[in-house]
Amino acid sequence: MKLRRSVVASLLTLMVLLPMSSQVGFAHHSRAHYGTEESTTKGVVVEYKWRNPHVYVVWAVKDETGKATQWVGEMASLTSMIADGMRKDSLKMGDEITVIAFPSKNAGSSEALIKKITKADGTVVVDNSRVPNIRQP
Amino acid sequence: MRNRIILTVFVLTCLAFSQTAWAQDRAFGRPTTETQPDKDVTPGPGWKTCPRCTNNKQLEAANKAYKVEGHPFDPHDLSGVWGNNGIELDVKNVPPFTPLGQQMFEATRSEIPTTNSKDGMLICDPLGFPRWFAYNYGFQFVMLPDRVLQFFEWGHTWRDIWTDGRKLPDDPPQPRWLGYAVGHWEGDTFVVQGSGYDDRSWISEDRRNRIRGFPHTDEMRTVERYRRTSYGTLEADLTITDPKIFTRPWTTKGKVELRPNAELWEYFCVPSESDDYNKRLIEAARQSNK
Repeated sequence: MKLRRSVVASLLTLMVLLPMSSQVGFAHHSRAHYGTEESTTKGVVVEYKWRNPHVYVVWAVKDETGKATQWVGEMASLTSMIADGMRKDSLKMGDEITVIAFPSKNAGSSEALIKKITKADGTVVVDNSRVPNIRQP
Repeated sequence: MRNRIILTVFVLTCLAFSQTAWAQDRAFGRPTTETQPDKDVTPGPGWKTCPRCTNNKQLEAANKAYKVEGHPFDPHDLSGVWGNNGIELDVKNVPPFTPLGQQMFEATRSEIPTTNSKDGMLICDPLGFPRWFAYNYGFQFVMLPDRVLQFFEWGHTWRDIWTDGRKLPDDPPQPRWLGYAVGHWEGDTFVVQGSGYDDRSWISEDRRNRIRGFPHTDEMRTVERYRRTSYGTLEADLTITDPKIFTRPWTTKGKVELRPNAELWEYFCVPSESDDYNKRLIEAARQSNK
């Protein structure tokens, strides 16, 4: 019985680990410095750089005291973002957005890897929720 | 015993699934996301999308629209836009290094763990060959009577593969990022030999952990073997030989799919853009790792 349990445990582990191993190391600049914990923030677009090597957005988030922190959110190359439905005019300064992202693991850093951006009217600008292991796209 | 058999079957099934997912990634490059458009994004009527702008849904539709499956083809005609991300080198099969190779490999180690600070790509050095084989955002073959042109979207550049019977130069006056290349047919396989490479480029970044790159010397030689096995499929093998770096040749067996709905757009590494990116994101990572 014990043996059967250990076999089942091994199988479950393999089911999880093997497909993950296929996703490792897939393109461009490393993303190892981003954490695995998601954060959700609401803020205002300060800058939208539709540029290579990676598109990024800067948005300002105010805390309870009114102090604003500017976050820099990294995405992928222009052409990858086109495949994901974005364009040069998907965001503009002053847009109110809700951002789901993976902040950097480095304490005090305000960089993050973008997972999802939604405008105040509910328009989804980009959503990579289905991308397996988004931290290594 | 029975449990062992079950375990073996299961492991093999998982491995097969894993390899299939990997192959699909290499073929399509961009997994499905929630916000992908259903139709190709093009600049307008008569224009095509770019290889990497195509997502899975669009490529499937394009393959049907262009009748790729079963389409007649000439195996000696490699024309077309192929792939969207290059042919990843077989990093599971990296040959053992020579002592010099090990030393040069270690010298490429990044100063920071999060991205490779020594990668020439960050400052827009040309990727060179064979790095452009492994990483190109799609390439195009154009067949001419005396040469085959290979265009790459990454860097928006090309190389000449001469088919007019000339030999590789024994001692070229200058090394080149893309080297010198000559090609000939062996049956239905187009064989390309290359040499005369500038040793400042990497063979590729090491995708096992991205903190090093594979170096080469000016003695590196490459042999590519391309075989069109169907209208939509091109086998692409690469063998790298550099006796100063590796103790044996390094072979990658790959495959790329036709992109019938695509034409090469441009991906320039623009120094001012890279500088901005490096300052904002990479330099910040470097500072916070001090």
